[in-house]
Amino acid sequence: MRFENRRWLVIPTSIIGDIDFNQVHESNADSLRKSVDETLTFVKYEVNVVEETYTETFEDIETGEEVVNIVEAGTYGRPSVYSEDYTEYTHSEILELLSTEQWTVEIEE
Amino acid sequence: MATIGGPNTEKDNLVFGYDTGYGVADSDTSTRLYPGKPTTNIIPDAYTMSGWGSYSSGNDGTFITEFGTTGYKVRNKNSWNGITKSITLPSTGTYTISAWFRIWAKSSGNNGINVYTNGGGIGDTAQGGDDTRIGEWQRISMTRTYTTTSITFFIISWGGTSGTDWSSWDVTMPQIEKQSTQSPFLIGTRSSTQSLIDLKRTTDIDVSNVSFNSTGHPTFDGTDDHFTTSGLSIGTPSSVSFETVIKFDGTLDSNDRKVFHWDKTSTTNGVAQIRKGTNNGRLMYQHYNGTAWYTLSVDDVVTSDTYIHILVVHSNTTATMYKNGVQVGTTSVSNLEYTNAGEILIGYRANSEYWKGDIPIFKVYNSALSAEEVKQNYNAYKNRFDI
Repeated sequence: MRFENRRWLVIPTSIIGDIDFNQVHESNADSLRKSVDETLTFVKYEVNVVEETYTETFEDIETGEEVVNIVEAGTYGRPSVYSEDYTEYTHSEILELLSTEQWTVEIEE
Repeated sequence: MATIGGPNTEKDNLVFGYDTGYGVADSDTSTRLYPGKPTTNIIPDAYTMSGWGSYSSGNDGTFITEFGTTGYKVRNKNSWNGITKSITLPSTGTYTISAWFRIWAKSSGNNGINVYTNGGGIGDTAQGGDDTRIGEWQRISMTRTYTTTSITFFIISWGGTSGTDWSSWDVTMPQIEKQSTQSPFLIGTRSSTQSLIDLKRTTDIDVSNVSFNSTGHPTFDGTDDHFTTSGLSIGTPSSVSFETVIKFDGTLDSNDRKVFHWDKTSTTNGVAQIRKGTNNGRLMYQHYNGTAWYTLSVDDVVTSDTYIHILVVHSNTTATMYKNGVQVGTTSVSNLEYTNAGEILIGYRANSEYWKGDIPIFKVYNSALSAEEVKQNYNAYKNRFDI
């Protein structure tokens, strides 16, 4: 499946100013796709989902000391505009949403 | 006109085109796509490598490489040798760190050439090269996600016993870019219109609204990815040909999706477009003559997860579509009307109808390619795209 790690966050257009465009694929406010009534938009980004907490151990190659790093379970890579108040979609889910009349106007030609 | 090896872009009436280099270029290769996002080499003076410090056993100073860049050389230095520089990243996030190395020799206990960073919230991290490629330039690259912004960049050979182990090597063209894919070396910033270059070098292609896969090639995920060109006027031709290689990702859906839409200024209409229809694998070529749209519609053209070569020839009042070098449809249309032709939108129209898949090739000719030329152009691409 392509875009397995990509997520789409649908947000109100009223918070476009809160988007850090260094953290999402879209480049600026002008490039955002909006719903037909222009009240909603979305940003997309890549996430790294860690299912279970794990410990990684590696050797500091200069000092020879062992370094231990605990990686907590969770979803990493979400932009700062992310909030559980908004719905995050997978690729198939966002395609289904964008096919609705809320997002797509039929153009005859 | 077209040649046995494919179209001659300088002579074949090509007015606009791009080729992402799919299948023939990688992230080190400067074709006419510089893979990945528009980017900045965060290292200042990367071309001259000024401001680097000596690390541990040091180095043997600078030289001018065959690329014209400044390089550092290390000759028979004790293990832990090379250069270092402190870098402040513009923000936390994922970066790709790279440099071009040439190893000459090393002792067996030495780990050889490496890009290596310390700090950034992730401690020491490094990536080595291929020490068997003696006397050959190779790029070593690593992608890391930093959680703080201060790092020390080491370009070093390390490991083994000091006084016993040693190495000899060269390095040049260091690069740090804020993306997960390395792109060809650059000095400063590559803007959104300098990443994918028009084959004619006359029209800007803005890639700021497309995303890229892990190899740095553009992808159209069907939600908002697209290219936009600067305005492109081709006068009042009597014939035009559109050539593209496309792939639709996944099961064919019922959405109208555009391969391209050529806008017409000061109107909501365009001058031409190719679109996937809503069913039956339909592909449609349409043109607007100033009064009405005319359509050539052919079913069973678009297939799922397969590259196809499409060429549409519009000659006077006849439009003909070829798939993989074979004619699949023809119909009467109107004369071309390209007055006020504007920008070309690749992969969408307006605020919807986004393409889902790949569009690695797109070309416009202001002439009618013959059936033989269509076949030649298809033959030039079929192996590359496994058609």
